[in-house]
Amino acid sequence: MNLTVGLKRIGLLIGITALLVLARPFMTTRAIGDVLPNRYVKVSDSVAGHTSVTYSIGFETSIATTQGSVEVEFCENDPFPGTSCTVPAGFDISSAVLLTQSGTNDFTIDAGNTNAHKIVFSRTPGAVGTIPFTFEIGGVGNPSAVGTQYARIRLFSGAGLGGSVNEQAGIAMSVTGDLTVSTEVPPHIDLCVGVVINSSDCTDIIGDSIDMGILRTTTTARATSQFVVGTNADNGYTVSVSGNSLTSGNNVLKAITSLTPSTPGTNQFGMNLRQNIAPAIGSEPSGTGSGAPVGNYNIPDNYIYNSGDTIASAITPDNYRKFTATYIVNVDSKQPAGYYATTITYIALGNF
Amino acid sequence: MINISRLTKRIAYVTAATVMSLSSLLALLPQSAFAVQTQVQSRQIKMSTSAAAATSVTYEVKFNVAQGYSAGGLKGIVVEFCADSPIIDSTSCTNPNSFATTSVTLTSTAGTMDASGWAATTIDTAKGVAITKAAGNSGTITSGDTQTITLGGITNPNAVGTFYARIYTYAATATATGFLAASGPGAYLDYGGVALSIANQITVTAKVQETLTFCVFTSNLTTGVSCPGTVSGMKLGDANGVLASTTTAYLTSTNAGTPLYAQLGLASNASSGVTVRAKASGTLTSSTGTIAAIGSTPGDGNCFADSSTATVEQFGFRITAGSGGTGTQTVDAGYSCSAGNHSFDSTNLASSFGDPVLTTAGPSTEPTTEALVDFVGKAATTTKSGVYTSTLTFIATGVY
Repeated sequence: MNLTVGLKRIGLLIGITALLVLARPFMTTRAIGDVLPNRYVKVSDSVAGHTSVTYSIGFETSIATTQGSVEVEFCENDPFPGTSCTVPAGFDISSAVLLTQSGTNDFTIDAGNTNAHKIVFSRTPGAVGTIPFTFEIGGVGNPSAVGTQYARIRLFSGAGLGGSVNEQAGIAMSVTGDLTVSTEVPPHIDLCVGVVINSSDCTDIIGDSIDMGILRTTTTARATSQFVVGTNADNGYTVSVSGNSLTSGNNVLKAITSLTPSTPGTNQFGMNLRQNIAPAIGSEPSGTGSGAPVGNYNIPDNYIYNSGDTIASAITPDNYRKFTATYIVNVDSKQPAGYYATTITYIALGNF
Repeated sequence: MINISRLTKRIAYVTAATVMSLSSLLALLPQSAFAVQTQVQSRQIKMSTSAAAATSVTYEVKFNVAQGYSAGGLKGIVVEFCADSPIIDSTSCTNPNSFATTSVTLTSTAGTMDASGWAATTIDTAKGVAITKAAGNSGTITSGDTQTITLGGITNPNAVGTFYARIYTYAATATATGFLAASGPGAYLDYGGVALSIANQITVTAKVQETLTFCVFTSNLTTGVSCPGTVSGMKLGDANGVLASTTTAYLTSTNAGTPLYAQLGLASNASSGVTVRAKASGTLTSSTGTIAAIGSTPGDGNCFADSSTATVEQFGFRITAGSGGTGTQTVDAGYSCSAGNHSFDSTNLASSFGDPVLTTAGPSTEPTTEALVDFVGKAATTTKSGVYTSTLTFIATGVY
C-alpha cells in the first residue's frame, strides 16, 4: 500500500517537474524577442513592381561586441535568418546605393556579397556598443507581386560576412497596390435667365415674363430681368441676345439701333446691363466672376437693341456672374394701339 | 505413536522456521526499532526543479509524524541525501553526484512543530540538513500531524537518476547537528525514506515569425470585410464619376451612387506597433489643371469643412480607425476629422516616406471594422474640364 502511494507521488513529482521544464522555453521568449530591438524596414513606395524605391533599414544592437558586417536578405517565405530563402519575384536590390547611414557611420556596401535579394554592408571590424543603426539605400526594385515579404538581418563580427553571427532577427513588410482616385470635370457653361434671380448661382430663379404696363408718350416704361452665367471654358464666354423688337401684329415698335438715351415721346425699345439714373433702374453686375457687359450695352443711361449683339463676355474661366438687363420702351403719339410683345433669347457661348 | 512422533517433528519444524523468519525480519528492522521509533507517513520531498546541477533549488520536505510529541519533545530533524539507498540506520550514504547543502537556508516551517524558531544547518559533508530548535516544539504534536519544512539554497545532483533522502526526528538538537551517516543516525524518534529523481530537461522550441498583414481595398460595406479585398470604383462624383461645382462629392461605387470606402486592413505582431504612412502623387490633377486640396489654406493638413460653394475646389480624405480587434488603432490628428470635414497635407504626402496617418502601439489583430478612408472632392465653376486623378499609396511599417 505504502509502495503504491510512494510510486504515485514520485509520478506526480516527475509530472510537475516535466511541466516546469516544458514551460521554461516560453519563459525565455522575451529574451529572444529582444534581439535587434526596434528593427524596421521603412520604404518610400510599397507598390508592387515599382523601381527606384528608397529603403530605410533600422535596428538597435542589443549586445556590445565586435561588428564587421551587416547582411539584409529579402525573402518571401519567412523572416528566419540562416534558413532557405525564397527570393521575391522581381525584387532587385543589386543596384542599390547607400544614401545615408547612422550608427558607426563607417559601413560601405559590400558589392562582392550583395546580389539581387541581399545587400551586405561591411566595415573594418571593431567594437560597437548597443546603439541604433540606420541604413538608407536608394534604387531598390520592389517585388512584382502584392503580399508580405520579409527582411532578415544578420550582424557578423567580421567584414564580408566573416566571423561569427552576433545577432539576427527578421522583419515583416508589406507590398501593396496603390489607390487611384479619379473623377471627371466636364466642359460646362451655365446660363440661367429669369425676371429675378435671388441667388448668386442658378438655384433660385423667379419668373420669365415682364409686363411693362401701358405705354405713354410722357414717361418711359422700364423693367429688368436677370441672367447668371459661369463657365470653365478656357477662354471664357460670350453672351448674346436675339429676338425682335416689340410687335403687335404687323405693327412694330422700333428698336434703338444706335446708342441713345431714353427719350419719352419717341419710339424706342432698348436695353443695357448697367445701373442707370435716367431712368433710375438697373444694377451693376455682381458675383464672384469677372465677366462684364460689352460695347454699347455697357454704357449707363444709354440704350440699344440689335438682335444678335454680344452683350457680355469673359475671357477666362469665370465663376457665376449675375447681370441685370434693363429694358426701356418709349412711344410717340402715332404708335398704333395694341398689345406689343417680344421674346428675348439669351445665348451663352463657351470659348473652350 | 508414529503419528505423534510426526506431529511433534512438524511442530518442531514450524517453530524453527518461525524463529528463523523472525530473526531475519529483526535483522531488517532498525537497530533501535524496539524502542518507540516509528515510520513517518505521507512523506514526500518536492523539488522546485529536477534539473541536474541546478542551484538554489527549493526542497519542500513534508511528512506526518508517526508518534506524538509533548511540548519540547521534538528538537531536531535530519534529512540526509544519499545516492545509494533510503535504508534507515544504514551507515553507508554516498553523496549523490555533487549534491550540496552547503548554502541551505530554512525558508519556512509549518505544522504543529511551530512556524518559527527553527534553523537549518548543513551536516555530514554537505549531504544532509539538520533542522533544529533548542526549545523544541512549543505545543503538543499529535500522531499523524503534518509537518512541512521548506529548504532553499540546495544544489541538485549533477547526474540524471534516482537519489534518496532519509528523514529522522530527534529529541536533542546536538544529535541532529552532529549527525554523521557513517556513525549511524543516533537516538532518533521517527524515521522514513524518500526517493527523488533528477531528470533530463526537455527543451521545446518554437518560432513565432514577424508578421504584418496590410492591404488596401474598397467596399460599400464598412464591416465584415477583410484583407485581401479588391480595389474597384474609386471615382469621385456622381454615379458617373463627374464632379459638379455646387455639390460636394464623395467616393461612390461605379454606376451605383452608393458610398464607397477605401479600407486599410492591418494586423501585426510588431512589438512597437505599425505606422501607416500615406503618399500622394498630388491633389487631383488633369492634363489641364488641378483641383485644389482642401483646407483653409489648401493642402495645409488640417481638417476643414466640406463646401458646396461654387467657387471652391476641394480634394481630401479623412480616416476612421478600425475597431473590433485586439489592439487600438489611432488616426493621426491631421486626418482624424469629424464627419463633413476632410484634410490633405500636400507637403507631407509628397515627402520621401509619406505622412503618418494611422498607427498601432503594439501587436494588433485585424479589426472587424477596418480603418476607413473617406474621400471628398468638389470642382469649382471655373475648374477646367478634364479627367482628374490622384494616386495614393499607403505604406505600413512595423517596428519589431
